[in-house]
Amino acid sequence: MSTGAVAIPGHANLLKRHQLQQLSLFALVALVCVVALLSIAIGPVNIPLADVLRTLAGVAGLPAGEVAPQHQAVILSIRLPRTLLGLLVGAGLAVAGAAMQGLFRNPLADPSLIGVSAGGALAAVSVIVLGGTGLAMVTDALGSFALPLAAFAGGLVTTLVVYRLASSDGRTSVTTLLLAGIAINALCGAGTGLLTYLADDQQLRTLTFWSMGSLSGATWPAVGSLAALMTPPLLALPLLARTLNALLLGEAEAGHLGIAVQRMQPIIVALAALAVGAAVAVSGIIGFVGLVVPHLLRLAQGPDHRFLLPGSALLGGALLLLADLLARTLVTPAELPIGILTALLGGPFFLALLLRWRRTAL
Amino acid sequence: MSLSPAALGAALLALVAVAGAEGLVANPPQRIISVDGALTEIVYALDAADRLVGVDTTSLYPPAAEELPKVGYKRALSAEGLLSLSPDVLLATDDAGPPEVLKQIVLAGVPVPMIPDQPTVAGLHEKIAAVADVLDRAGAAVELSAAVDAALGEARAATANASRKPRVLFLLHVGSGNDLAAGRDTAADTLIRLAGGENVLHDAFQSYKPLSAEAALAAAPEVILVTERNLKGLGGEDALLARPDLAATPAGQARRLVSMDGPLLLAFGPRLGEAVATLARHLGTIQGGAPRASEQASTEERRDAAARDAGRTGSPPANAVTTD
Amino acid sequence: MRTDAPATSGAVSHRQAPGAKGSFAVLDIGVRRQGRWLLDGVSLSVGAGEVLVLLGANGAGKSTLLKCLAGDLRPERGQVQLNGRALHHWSALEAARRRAVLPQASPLSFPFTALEVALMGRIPQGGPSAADMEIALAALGAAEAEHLAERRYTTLSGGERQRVHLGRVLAQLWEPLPGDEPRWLLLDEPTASLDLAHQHSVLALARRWASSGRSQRGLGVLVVLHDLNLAAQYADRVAVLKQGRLLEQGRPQEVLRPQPIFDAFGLPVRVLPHPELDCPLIVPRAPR
Repeated sequence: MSTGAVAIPGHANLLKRHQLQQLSLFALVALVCVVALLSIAIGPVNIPLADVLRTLAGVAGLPAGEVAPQHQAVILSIRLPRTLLGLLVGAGLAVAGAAMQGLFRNPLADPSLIGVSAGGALAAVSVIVLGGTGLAMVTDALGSFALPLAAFAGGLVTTLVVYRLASSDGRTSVTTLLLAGIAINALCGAGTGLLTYLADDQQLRTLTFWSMGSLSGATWPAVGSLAALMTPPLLALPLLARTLNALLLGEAEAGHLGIAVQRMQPIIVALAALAVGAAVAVSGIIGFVGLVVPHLLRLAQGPDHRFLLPGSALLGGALLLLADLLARTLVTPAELPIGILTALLGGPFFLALLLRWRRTAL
Repeated sequence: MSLSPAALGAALLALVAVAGAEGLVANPPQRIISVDGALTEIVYALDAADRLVGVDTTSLYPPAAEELPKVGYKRALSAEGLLSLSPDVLLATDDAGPPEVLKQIVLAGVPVPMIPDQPTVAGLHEKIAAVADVLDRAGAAVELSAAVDAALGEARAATANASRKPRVLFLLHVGSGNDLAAGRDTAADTLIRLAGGENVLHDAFQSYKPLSAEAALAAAPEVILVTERNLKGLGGEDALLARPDLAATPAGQARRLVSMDGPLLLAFGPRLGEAVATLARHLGTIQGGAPRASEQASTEERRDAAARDAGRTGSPPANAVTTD
Repeated sequence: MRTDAPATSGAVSHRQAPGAKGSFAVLDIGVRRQGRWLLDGVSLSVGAGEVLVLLGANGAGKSTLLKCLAGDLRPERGQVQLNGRALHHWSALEAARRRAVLPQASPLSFPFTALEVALMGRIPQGGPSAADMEIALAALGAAEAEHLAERRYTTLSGGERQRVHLGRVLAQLWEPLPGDEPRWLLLDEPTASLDLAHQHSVLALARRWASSGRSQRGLGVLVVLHDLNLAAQYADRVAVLKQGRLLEQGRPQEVLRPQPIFDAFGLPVRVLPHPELDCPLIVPRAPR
């Protein structure tokens, strides 16, 4: 019983691993700060760094010097909201991806796999196409929350339907869940296709923009509604890290460890659906973030969700900001769809790490 | 944290916007960005091209426009990208976007007169007048509108003698899936009518919709109209006419395929008269060429024939026309 | 309830009232799946300090019974009692502090280190602290897997993984409960992927934990096994299931006789006295 006799010194580096993870989190915070500053400082309009810093000082309430009003306007009304939007969207997508992968014990699981994205897309398309007609009163009342709430509701409803289909005897089979997800994906795809057909020209354009993925819709109201919707998942999911760790052992095993599996699974699904829905609604469909970010962190520091979830939030935000920085500066004065860039940046990096990992760790 | 910069930004932008608006009244804008092919053409036609500092990717004519900085596709604009060109005004049709970006441009003090984009002759005159208003070129606009009317009048007079209206199907190839076909309220629809033809899908639907193989057969077009670039994408003339949905139509049987320069066909700009005349020549409504025997049959009979011949690909001598 | 520490051979008669405070028991339970009774009227009880081995042919209901005890299944009929209280009245967390389950196989496919896996056994106790780390290491040591502590789980062999999970469930029950409330270890075919030496060491460990009562505190072990000789050697009691019903239960010497074995498995055997140990030795008879 006396545990002091255990040969801890032989495993000194095991204890270090935890410290290393903490250190990595600090490094990621620093990375986010640097990338955010770059994102605010760099853009098609050439603004001297001094003006950028003075403007930011002014925002922080510090004594700021004279700044050209146009420069200040670009920073405050274009770059700052866009930077915050990018951080939130990236963090939300990455955390949702990590949570889903833990929930389904599949490192390749993705919100799109179980119908969250498809359901969210269907609901958002419904709002865009039908928003002017039957739903007008509802969408007007909700304002800038209409699209994200619809996407969240759509993702949630489809996920719950998939869930119900896959549950029997109060237990959930992952295989059935994934198969049901495929079926729901197909149904939602068909629904979206039907609405696309009904859409008029103007709506079709909105849909096209939306399906390409972009942060160019970054306004302060958009940032505000996104922050409100993204706060619960970003705060709550990291608190469920131990539950997700236990779920990796298997549902029954997690139950044996005292986790109320049947109650926690829907909560995790709902939080992830909220994050994905909010992100999708404000920036369209941006792929790869939810898949690549948790993967990279797992390769570097292992699959422990206590590190993985906050790490994903930070790295996801930084990665998306970096991608957006490239998206809006590579082809100025035009702009690239950010989804293409996340795939271009994330894909090869991910593959290279995967190959290296297979060679060394296996 | 997020509220104070928002408020500060809004206040600042309001100030800048007021300043910008006052500037516009005083003197005509010297730095113009146009994000629509037709508007760009109008700016050139009004002899104000020297003031253009940027155009979108749909601005393909005149060739000189392609030399200007490209601000991207008209529906996926970048606020800061546009601002980096320091424009005095952004010329845009009402389908430009995304809306948030246009809002930011306006807030940054750059006026964005939204010009309605109607594919009608009246709509074209409205566009010319609106652009001229921004450029302070009212005189040139009157001349341009008159020239457009003159060209259209000429074309109308020439097609007036045509014995009958050829039934035309306009196809737009957009990547995978069924091709889109033009219904009513489209540039193609108006152009076909002005050129003395009849859009087979005018009564079927509005705007562009995917067309199934059987619907194409049932529409029984006598002429297939495509853009030159699309024709390449669809695999060329022979491949297109051999498609099962088109081969059995009267157009497929008679190998009547017209391909036209895309910007001329679809831009609906000041070259409308030229576009109508070109299409009319291809449709045979101007020269009044001798109608073929089969074209004298009634529509119903032709449809029956098309249905009987469905799946068979006997093709009479080539009669397809293309422009270069 | 027994108070005397058993001898290492452990063959003690152990009859107590099912459902008593110091036991883990099923009372007349029935589990039906698609109209067929997988378990029908089974009553069985494990006592603190004993190793009960569950035997039976494939499909006899062993796994179903284990699932009922683990709380994965709630029987349609009858009741499962943990320390004198219906299992479903314990919260998941309360149950987890009293009962650990070693699964036949785990779907874990993420590259945790073995130590991190063992540390998950400490989740019911409130999660990994520095003290938990030491317990996890010690538990891995007890499961003869300490040398694997830094290895990635995904790179381990089947037998090594099994031992890491054993370390995990040992870590879960490492500390005694207040008032010497008994703890329960459920092992589902723990020897399946182990080599001969490790098969014996795992069961010897179970024996030690139950009888020497690791620091004299109550702990009972229920093991599902296929190997009759392992059962004979390590069980205090054996229970034999057949087609969802309890066929026999009792000390190995009483139960592991040719007739019950033939009834349960359809296999003719001879039962000899073990040349070295105080237990029977079961030898299949040559087929004629």
